[in-house]
Amino acid sequence: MKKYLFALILACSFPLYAEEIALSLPMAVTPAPISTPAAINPGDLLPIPVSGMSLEQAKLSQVIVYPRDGVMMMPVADWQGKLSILFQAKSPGKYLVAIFSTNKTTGGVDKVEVELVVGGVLPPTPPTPPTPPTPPVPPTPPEPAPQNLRVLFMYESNAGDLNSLPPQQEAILTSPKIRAYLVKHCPEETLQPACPPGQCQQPPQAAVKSSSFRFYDQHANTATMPTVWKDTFDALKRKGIPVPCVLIVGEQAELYAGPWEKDVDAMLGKLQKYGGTP
Amino acid sequence: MTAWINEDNYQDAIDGSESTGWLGRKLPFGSLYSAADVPIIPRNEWKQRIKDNQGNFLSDLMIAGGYQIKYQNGLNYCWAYGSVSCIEALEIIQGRPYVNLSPESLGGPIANWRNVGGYAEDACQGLLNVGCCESSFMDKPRSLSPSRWKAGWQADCANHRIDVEWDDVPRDFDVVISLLFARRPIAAGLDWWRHLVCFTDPIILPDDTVGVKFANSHDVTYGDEGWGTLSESRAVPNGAFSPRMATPK
Repeated sequence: MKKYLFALILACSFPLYAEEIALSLPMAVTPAPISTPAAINPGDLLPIPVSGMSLEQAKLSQVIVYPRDGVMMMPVADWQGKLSILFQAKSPGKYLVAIFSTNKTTGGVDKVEVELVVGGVLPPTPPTPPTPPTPPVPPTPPEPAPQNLRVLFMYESNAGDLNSLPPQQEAILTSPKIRAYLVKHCPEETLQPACPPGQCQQPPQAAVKSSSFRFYDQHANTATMPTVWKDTFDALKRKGIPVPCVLIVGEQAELYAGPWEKDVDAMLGKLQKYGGTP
Repeated sequence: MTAWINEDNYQDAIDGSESTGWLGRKLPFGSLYSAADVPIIPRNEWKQRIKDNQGNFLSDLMIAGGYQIKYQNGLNYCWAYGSVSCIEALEIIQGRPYVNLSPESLGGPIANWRNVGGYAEDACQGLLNVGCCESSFMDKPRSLSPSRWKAGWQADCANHRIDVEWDDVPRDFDVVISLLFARRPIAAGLDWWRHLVCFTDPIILPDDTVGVKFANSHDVTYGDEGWGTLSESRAVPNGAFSPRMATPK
């Protein structure tokens, strides 16, 4: 609560057009009821007469108003020593004006208050600009379930082409870390029969099994490839992705086709996205 | 035998060496491609590139892939042993399971099954046109008696050949290092040693220079588990080829 002191100023120029509003402070007597004007408009400068209080007593009093936002309130006295409070509110609403005055006789505090209604009807709240609709957030794709992979890395074995790659990307070709992952997540398959037809004698050679990943030069001779790798090789070639590129196939469908990642860890991350970890 | 051969100790490598069999460079070599055309990686980038790729060079993958150091043990077939190691390295790169290949199946038909030295050029042509079979076809290690081998070894040779192409490697250390950065194995014949080995990696040597790591064919008792390193002055090949890819399987 802020403390206000009465100031002696000239207030004669203010018309008392709302004399029915008056704060009465009859010295330790219960204040008389105060009537309020029929209408107070926002912006009106309203003098509220204060009676039953001397100037000396006014100096020991406090005037408050609530709410305070947009309100100008000033205690004044004219040439004759008549006290009043100038009140102005910018916004419609209900305002409480009160005087707290020390009673020298009783030693207590006398209070008188009046409620002012400004504007009668509160203006409509300006429409809030509509909130622009939030663009729909695409649903986060569910993490693919780990599955067995078939992976084909295609590159150009010409030294000039390979060495034009950043060294960190070039390392993907011979990274033991990537190979260890591929061996674990690309199931073994039998690609070479136990021995060529008509060549089987004692003892026959063991069938060749290998994990389902390959690193092929883009000009590799497809005639010698097992059918499954020839088809995979042709499928990646048809995509026209510049080398070095990679094709990752899952148990049901193609999962990824694109360039090699920038380094070993990123490439491993790409594989783990589809094949699971570790 | 030390794993690092340099100017101070290379004579020891010659004197104490086991069987070799390198006869020098045969001209013309005859590849469509010459590694002399390979864009050279500037020397001031070598060390940083080696550091950036530590653990991801060809020998790292070969070892992780199960590559077995070879042992020619008295057979003068280094030219076939080193060349076949290149094919094994390329098959590992390709993702095929490691199989121990028979240098004798490559060198034997070329040398008419005699225990004689040979040329990288002949080994290269043999790997292009015929290939080599798995060692498991042989009756015993280093056997030059194919009549005792299991049937089907000739057919199996078609599974282990040079595909795509190969590069003739000139006497130029910058070319050698640039090829090795591209993970290209080099069957490198060295006149000073009368020997051919398989170059695999560029490497920073103890004297802070860049040299070459190679797979020898003198068993795992040689150098560091069968691997050695060469200073630049000892690593300039006199006749060498670098295959690009093994038969796609």
